[in-house]
Amino acid sequence: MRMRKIIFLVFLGISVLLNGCVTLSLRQANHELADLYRAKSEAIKSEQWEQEVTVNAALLALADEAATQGADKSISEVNRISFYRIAATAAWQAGDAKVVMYAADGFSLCTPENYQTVPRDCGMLSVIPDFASVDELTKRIEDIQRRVSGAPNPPTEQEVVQLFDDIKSRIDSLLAKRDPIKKSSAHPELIQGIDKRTGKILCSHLRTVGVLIARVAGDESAAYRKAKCDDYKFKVEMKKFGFSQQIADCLPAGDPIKPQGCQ
Amino acid sequence: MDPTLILFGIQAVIRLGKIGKDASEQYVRDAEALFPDIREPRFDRGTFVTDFFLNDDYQHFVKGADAPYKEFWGSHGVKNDLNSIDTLFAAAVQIKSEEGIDMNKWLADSQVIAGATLVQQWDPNKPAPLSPFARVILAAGDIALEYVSVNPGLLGAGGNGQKLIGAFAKNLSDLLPDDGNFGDNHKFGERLLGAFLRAGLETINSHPGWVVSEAHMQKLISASVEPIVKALPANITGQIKYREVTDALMGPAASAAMQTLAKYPDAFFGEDFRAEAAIGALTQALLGQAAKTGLNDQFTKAGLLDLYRAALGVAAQKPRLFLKSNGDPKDHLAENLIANFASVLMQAPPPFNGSVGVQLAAAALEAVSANAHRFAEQAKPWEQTASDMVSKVAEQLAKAFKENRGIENAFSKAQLIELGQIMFNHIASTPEMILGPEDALAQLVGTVAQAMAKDDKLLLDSGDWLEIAKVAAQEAAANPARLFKLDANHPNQTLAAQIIKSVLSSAGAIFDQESLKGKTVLFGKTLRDAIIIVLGATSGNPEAARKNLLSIESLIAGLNELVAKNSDQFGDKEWLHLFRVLLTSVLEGRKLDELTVESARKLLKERVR
Repeated sequence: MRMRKIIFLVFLGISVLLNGCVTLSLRQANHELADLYRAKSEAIKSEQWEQEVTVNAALLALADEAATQGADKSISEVNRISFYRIAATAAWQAGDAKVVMYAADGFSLCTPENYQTVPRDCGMLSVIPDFASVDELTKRIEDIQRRVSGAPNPPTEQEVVQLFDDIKSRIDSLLAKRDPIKKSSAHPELIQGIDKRTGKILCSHLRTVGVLIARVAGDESAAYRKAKCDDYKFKVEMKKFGFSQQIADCLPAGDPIKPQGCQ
Repeated sequence: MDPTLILFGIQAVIRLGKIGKDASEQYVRDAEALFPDIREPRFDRGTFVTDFFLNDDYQHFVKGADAPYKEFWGSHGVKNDLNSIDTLFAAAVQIKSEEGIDMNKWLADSQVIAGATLVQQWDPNKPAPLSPFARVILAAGDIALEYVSVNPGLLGAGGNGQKLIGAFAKNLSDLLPDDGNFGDNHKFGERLLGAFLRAGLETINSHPGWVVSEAHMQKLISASVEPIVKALPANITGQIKYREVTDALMGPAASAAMQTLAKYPDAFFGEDFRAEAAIGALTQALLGQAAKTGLNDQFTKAGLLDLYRAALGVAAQKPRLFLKSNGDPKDHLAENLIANFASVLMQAPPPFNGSVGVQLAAAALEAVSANAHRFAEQAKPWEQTASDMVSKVAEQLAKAFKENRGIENAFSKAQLIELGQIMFNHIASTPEMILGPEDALAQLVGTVAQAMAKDDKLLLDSGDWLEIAKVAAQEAAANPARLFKLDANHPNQTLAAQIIKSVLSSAGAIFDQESLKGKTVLFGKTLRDAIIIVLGATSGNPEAARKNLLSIESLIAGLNELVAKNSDQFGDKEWLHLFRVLLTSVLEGRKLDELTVESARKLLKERVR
């Protein structure tokens, strides 16, 4: 009941905005994003898929409106960056590909000077597309899991290996973006949050797809052996970056053990 | 820091806000941002067991000549049939449990839906563009701006909004150190003050006619916030708990306190600041109790706030009940008040353990506070008396409902509360009933409750019982030592209970006679009036009632039969008149002649004359 009320109010707010009666303020946009996220989480938790679709539509409307504000050159650049941060987050949660454009548009405004003024927003804009991509890849993982368990069109080895490589690319990308964020004045919770999510991609997503390679190609296959070696290399690299077991629970306390046959 | 500077700063933010929104932008930009978590793949048993047994530590269970589960394993991990997947899953659970790991818990934890984190813009350890003072002022300005956008006239010169912000600024200046080194306590206090500012603006919006007094507002805020800040525990766990309940309760509590100010304007004028001190003590008690017991199903946020609201009314109207002669809050009184009610409500049997209990508590508080002068000098603290009253009423009525489920269903929540109010209002004017050795309150409630329990044929409805309760309470308050005293011959029963039960039993007897049960008039309003008549007639002469109880029963049975058999000639009015007349004779000990149509007509004719 409460969730329906939230959705209704947010929809009402957005429809008023879209009709041009009121301009979306940053404060409103932040509140609406939080309300819709809460509504989406509740819809997922209670498995109300129709409501999730409704909330996604509202999130996309919010994303578009925030991006319109972000594109408004009469507004200061730092405010536009914040609008784009909201636009990209909302599009991410709506599962819409516009997230990439909104994040890129916003990040393009992150000059060294602006990065100093809104370090958290610039940092988030740089990583949001990676996380949105991982959410999309998660759906592919679940689809392959379903098909590997006896659905009519079983996954091919190439398909699973491609999925593994896509996830690897996301980890590579996130690790490459760490340094500037860590050095900025952004609140340390941001880098901790990014690291925790990156750890989850390694320990949950990449690991799951590694297992799927074994189930599709066989546990003695070259593809599975390579997946194990890639996994090992990430663990070594992440240990070097200072990732701990608390951040990524699949990391060993000491040095990772090298699987046989890895270079 | 100078309060005028704070006030000036906030007003500047608001004025700038009126002509362009840029002034507070940085504050808004730097507010916490939502950083969603990523989705994790759904749990899949086949993937899970393959991953598990591919681990070097567990491969020997599925691979090799002696592997115990090799038949379920293939070259592509677990075999793709349900039996293999389930068998290996069960094996994995067992292996892990032998290692001391609860797999069910581990799996449940791993299925928790991803949450989000809120991230601040700035690293607190690196130089940020906002000074702590500017941040505090912008925070207040931001709250005020929210309301200005709804009501642009809110902050006009000399208006309510300006007075409220003035009071807020004074409190803030008292709270914050001049050197700008804000500690945890200052930040905590600042958040609490923010809650009051928001609540005040909300109240001003909803009560346009309210005339705010800045001095009283200032005192209310300081009396409420200061003790809460001081009580912030030093240890981490204690602080987490305290902050959790503060976050949950402070906004609505501040709102309730402000509403009380608006509701009782007379209590918040002039030089008398006692009401504010009392409300401050109550607010601290509310948070203290919530931190102690936690907010849970039994002791909900809504219930606690209802209780707080009820107590606020008392604090506003009778602040001296909470204060010592020097104006300081009485030690532990507010704390005990909330704690006692909390304890009573937690232990109360259904249906008094939820909102009905809280409403009863409010009714008891109101009744006691309205008669506060009668309780002031008593040995038992008034707040204890109030919670005892609720406890007794809940206990007795719950017992009756347990015995007679039908009667419970007949009462709505509102009627249950009304029943409590009737009892409280009558007996609070006679403290002896509650505080005396006879425990007359328990006896009164017990009388009504026992009678209700015996109405198994549901001859009376809830409205009838409320009327009977009123008369019983009046009679008990007037003459507690008569009808409502426990009977030496019938322990646990009062004479009044025996009388009502006799009337009910006589009235019910006719329902066993097939030919007459459709013609009786003694149920509903007539039966209610009959009980009221008998209570009135016997309260002045309990001894006669005791002696003639059986005769009263016979009288009712006889009258019932006569009226039912001659329903074409006699109705409810005739029944009641005859009963009133003949009851007097019965109580005087006179033997009644046989009741016939003729004798009844004669008596009725005398009425006409």
